Amino acid sequence: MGTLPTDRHNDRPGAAAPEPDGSFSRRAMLAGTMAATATAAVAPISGSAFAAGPDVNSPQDMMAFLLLSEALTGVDKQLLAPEFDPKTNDPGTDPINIKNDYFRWINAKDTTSSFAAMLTFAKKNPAPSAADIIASVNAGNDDIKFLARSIVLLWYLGSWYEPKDLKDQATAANPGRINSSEVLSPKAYTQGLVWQIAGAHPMGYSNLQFGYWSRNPRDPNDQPPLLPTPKSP
Amino acid sequence: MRFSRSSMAELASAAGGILLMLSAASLAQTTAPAASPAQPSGLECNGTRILDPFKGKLAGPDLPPGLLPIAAADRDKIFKSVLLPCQENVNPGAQGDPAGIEGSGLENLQRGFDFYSWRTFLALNSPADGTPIETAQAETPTKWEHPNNFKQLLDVMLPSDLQPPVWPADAKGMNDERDRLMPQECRDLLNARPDLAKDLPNRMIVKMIEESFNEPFKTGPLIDQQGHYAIFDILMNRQMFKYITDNHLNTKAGQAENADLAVDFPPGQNAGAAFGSFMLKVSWKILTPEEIAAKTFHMRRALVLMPPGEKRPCLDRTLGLIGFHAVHKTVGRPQWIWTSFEHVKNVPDRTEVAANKLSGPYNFFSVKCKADCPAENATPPYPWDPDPALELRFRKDDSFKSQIVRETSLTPAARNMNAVFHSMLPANSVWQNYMLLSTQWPTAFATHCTGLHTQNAGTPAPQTDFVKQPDMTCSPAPPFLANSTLETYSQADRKPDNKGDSLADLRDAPAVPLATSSCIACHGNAVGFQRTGSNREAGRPNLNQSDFTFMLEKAQ
Amino acid sequence: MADTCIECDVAIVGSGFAGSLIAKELSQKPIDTANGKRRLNIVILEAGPGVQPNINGYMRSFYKASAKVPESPYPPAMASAPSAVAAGRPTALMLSASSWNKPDHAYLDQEGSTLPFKSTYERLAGGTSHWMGLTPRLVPNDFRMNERYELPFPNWPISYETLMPWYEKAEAELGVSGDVAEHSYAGVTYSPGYAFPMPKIPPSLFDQHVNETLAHLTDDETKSLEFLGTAAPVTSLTARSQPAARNSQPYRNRRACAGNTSCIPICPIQAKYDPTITLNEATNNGAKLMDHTVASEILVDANNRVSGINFITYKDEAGPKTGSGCIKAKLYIIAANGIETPRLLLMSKNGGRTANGVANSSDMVGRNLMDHPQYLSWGLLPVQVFPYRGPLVTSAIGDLCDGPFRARRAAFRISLGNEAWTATVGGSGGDPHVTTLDFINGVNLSGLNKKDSTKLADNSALIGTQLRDTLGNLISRQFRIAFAVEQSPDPKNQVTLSSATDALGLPRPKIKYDLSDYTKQGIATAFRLKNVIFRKLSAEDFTTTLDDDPAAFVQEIEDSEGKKVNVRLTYGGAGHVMGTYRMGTDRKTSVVDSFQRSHDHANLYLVGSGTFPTVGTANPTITLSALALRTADNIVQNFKEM
Repeated sequence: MGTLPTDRHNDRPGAAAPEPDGSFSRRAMLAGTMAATATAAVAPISGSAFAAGPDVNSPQDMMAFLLLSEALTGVDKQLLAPEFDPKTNDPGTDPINIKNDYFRWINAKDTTSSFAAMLTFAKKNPAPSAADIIASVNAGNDDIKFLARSIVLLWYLGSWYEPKDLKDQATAANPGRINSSEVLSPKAYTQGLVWQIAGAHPMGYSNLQFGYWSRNPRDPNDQPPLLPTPKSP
Repeated sequence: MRFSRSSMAELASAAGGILLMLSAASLAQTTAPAASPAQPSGLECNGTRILDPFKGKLAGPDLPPGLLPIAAADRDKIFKSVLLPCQENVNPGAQGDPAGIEGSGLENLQRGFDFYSWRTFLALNSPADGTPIETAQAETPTKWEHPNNFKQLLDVMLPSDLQPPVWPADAKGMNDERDRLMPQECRDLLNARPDLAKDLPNRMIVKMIEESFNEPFKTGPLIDQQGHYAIFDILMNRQMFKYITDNHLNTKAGQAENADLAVDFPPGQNAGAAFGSFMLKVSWKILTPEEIAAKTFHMRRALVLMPPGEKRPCLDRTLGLIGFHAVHKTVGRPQWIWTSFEHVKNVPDRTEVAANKLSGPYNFFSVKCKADCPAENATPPYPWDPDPALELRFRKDDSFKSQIVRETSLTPAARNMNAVFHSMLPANSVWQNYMLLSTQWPTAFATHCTGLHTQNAGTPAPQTDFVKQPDMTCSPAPPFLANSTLETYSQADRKPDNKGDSLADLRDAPAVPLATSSCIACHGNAVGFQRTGSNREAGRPNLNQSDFTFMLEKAQ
Repeated sequence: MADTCIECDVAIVGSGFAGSLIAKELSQKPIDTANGKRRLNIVILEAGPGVQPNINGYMRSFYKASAKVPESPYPPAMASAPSAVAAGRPTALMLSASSWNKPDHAYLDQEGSTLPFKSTYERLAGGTSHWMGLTPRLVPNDFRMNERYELPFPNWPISYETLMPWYEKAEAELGVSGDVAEHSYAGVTYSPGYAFPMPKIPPSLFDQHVNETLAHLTDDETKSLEFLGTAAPVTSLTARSQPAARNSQPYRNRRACAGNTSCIPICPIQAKYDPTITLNEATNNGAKLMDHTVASEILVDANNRVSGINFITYKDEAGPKTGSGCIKAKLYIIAANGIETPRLLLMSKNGGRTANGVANSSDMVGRNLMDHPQYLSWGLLPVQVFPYRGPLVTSAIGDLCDGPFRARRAAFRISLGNEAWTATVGGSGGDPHVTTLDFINGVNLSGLNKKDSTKLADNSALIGTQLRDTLGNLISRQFRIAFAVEQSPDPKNQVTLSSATDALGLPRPKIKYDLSDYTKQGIATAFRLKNVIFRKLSAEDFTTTLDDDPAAFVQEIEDSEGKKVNVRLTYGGAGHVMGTYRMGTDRKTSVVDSFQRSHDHANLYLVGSGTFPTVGTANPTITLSALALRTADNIVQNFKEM
């Protein structure tokens, strides 16, 4: 389960809260370090024209991956990558670090350079907004579009659906089940987001305690959560 | 010696009472024992932030060149102050200045916790008579073994005819309570053996139940190379004891009546040098005469009462410490901090076994067996229950000995921290034979994990807010941790051979969530016998959780 | 071979619920025998692997399974062809339209069967540990259908009242959480002052919502339920906590439920009872477990006593056989479940002397195969109930399980599911993947991706915050309700031997299965009730029967206006395998007596839910456990004479 950032002053009793240092502290996010850009005419992501492939150890590439994933999944970066420090590519204090697993997996599975193209777009300066990224993906070719869907499914379910299988299903006259998906690993499955989005947890992995199911998952005393309570229609 | 208000170390003089730790010489006394020159000191904690002074990266793989020996001034800062930290002093950034800055925040925090763990270990294992640990002998009784500081779980969760448990502040009172709870079989033994009776003040009394030989959730006993059971014991400190008795949690009925209580043991913190709650789980080996003579184990003479059954022999044994879990609740980590140490010669690593680079003899692994080696990490054959006639030997013919391998190696960071602390201890110290495995700690310990709003340094007793949907595990780091003597059979699986697939380490990681041992993940499931209603209105605690300890379920 | 047989006092085939409970009872203290009071020498033959030191392997298999079907944690590997497995078993994946009746694909040979038998089981130490954990008792009338409702069904040779103390013992042994007051309908009674070992499991949000909504039916709604045929008009429907072998407190060194929501197939913290717990106690008491040991023939001597059991051993899942042997005992107990037990009995031909199988003078062995066909319904509520939280089932509407209507149609028990559409859409264990994929890839396999349900375009492909909010909104409103319908006994529903074999060369079970009109009427009634309930819940109904569903059948019903219409219905398996060696007093029409002792062979017991002459609507486990404990007691009392 994604963890949320800590207030640094816990570790130094009596000390003042530290300056935002660009890492994903809540304060920094709320101050809007990721400036929302106006959605200017946005070019579609195209798959060419850069040298090296995506590098899981590059802070820029990882940050781009997180911006991309945040835009595609609608889930805040802080939950996708708790404690991530973009300056150093420091995983922060997240011992699970699922983003690294996903980055490596997508990079290995994508044979069309679409992943690289998407990251290149997300690396632009000023950083593109979520809307920009989505618009660009939607305007991209099928490789881009369906890889984006594979990426969302990976975050949501911990399962990999090949972009080609997604395309076959989406374009079929009579879409059938996709039986070829693969769960990355037990860890990935237990980090699946769709259950959390629905206010629950992946089946078979609860870090809660006896009786919790008898109560509403979102207490009115909660501070505004990063995963919003689904609203009734 | 400074007594902090949290130590309650108001020990009366020993006049009229039996001193609870004696040097070897005083064993010979037959008259009323003289008062020991120094009062046995209670445990106290250091509320001052002490940062680790070690220069360079400890996350390895190797020790930074020139790090050792540790400068005397740095060493003294650690050893000449009160050893036990009241709370962790950690930071994702560097520790002291000039400092060793690790490659990541996680590594810096882990280093801070591992430093904290070694200080805790040394503090708890320091001699109970107040002398420094550097001069401790193998058999010197430790502070955690002192009845003033820790009490065994079974002496708290008593049957109804022996309730309530008491923990007086004075030596005589404590001794009377020990005497009151002395099992009849041990009384009989003491009557038959005047030498044991005389030695009684020096003896630990270990009363076994199933969990004293069968690992948690009945995963199995552990059998040493001499064919004897390993023995497990659980202890709590005064802060936990007081919370339990104040809230009537020492009986099932008391827990059921106190249904509305959100169990919240008092935390330690630097402000006010508050000690906080400590629980210990220790594992012992029955020592052979050779092992006693070699002095490679911290050891205690003991009276061991065998588990309930038709007969319960009380046995005169010398026990050697082989495993040590210290768990400390602090204001910063309401999911507690989980420290695990074990004897360096318990078991080999999987990498050592694979490379045949064994440095035995081991306590739970045979290097001599050939084709007849028992299956590695297999549980013993049934039956598991100790046979009273065999007096804690597993089988009459000693035909079975556990063959245990540590599947997950120590990290370089843990290894290096061990090397540093070993270097600061005398070369012949028995504590050279103990190593830190790791420290497990919750990475997400602030507002959104358990809803704890208690980071106020000044507040002595935080109001834990369990209203929220607590993620009781709060992303522990490291995600999995198993002691070879205490979670023997819940380790991660053996790592499969890499088939050359670049994604193999993702797909085939050997540890499995919830199945593989993780202190916090497992203890997060602990509940007691409070009966709560099912549909509480918002804002009211509803969970009969027992604050990460399984102790409460042992209430009778 | 006879010279080197293993000798023991009691040989038990199968280490599931019944086998393990009996093994523990017989092993825990010395028994009166012909040569004095002593501990019995007990050997348990288990076809599959033994107990593992930890569940790393099972949990890994489960987490990595794309389809989280009930068998997914357990060996043998799901993809193996059944002819290539030494100790195979049916799986949910074998029930598709293209596999269910093809012996190449499916372990059970259902070629030529009218309808599919849809329940599955496990073959490994602990037996079918993938059970749900629910433990409602059968109600008194379940035991006397013939007498009470004048139906051509056999009565049980035992009453609820006789079995009652054994229920209590079984509930202590398994560790049941429940509330006596909530399980006292349909004449269920308890010893004075009895309480379940642990307090009940608290209801889920869905349970609470159902209770609030269905608590007061209007007069019109009550009138519209007259088709149920209950004794009194139905003015409310109440969901009550179900007794379950699921810890609500620490119990015997096991943890309390943490709501992992994976009871089927596996509880990660063993808060749900599984038979390895009792099996370990039995082996700790001295019983011996022989794993990877498949009983292949029961030997009968000239005096019609069982004289031994032959077995085959193997090492690898795929076989081949590594050895064989035999076991000789004074007493034999077959506890291999409702399909594997008749299979073994029928395989045992003794060179032609028992050509129709052992213990089969009645010709009833293998006959009267029964399940609880599950009528599954699922939908979308107008409010959030947050499924995927807590045990899979916490409450049920149980009081419709008995009434005058049973003279005409099968009864049912209604369970409320906390797992959204997992059991329904896309087959067992398919969701939330199907729903999630629908909204990402713009397809509609769940039925949900349409304008009327979402207020978005049909087949929307969403992304970003809109995807997140839409799925969060929809999934938190998904629910399912299942109706477990009583199946009537029919001797034509039968387990025989196939010509298809497993990797040990043993013939696999062949199944002939159908539903009677009595049972189909029960399903049809469930359908009608479902409509009323969904309307009252203002739920959008997504229940559907796939075009190629092999279990589909057409039933004529009366709709709400009284018009006769045809509806296409279907059913799922409950995992309950019952009836195939039923108990009775008449040896011509039954296989065992009420102590589950064979009529034909004095030293043979056949245990498990295969002995049920009728099945009621309750999950069979607690009943078969109570019967097993009664059997064990009978053995202890009479062992001297055996």
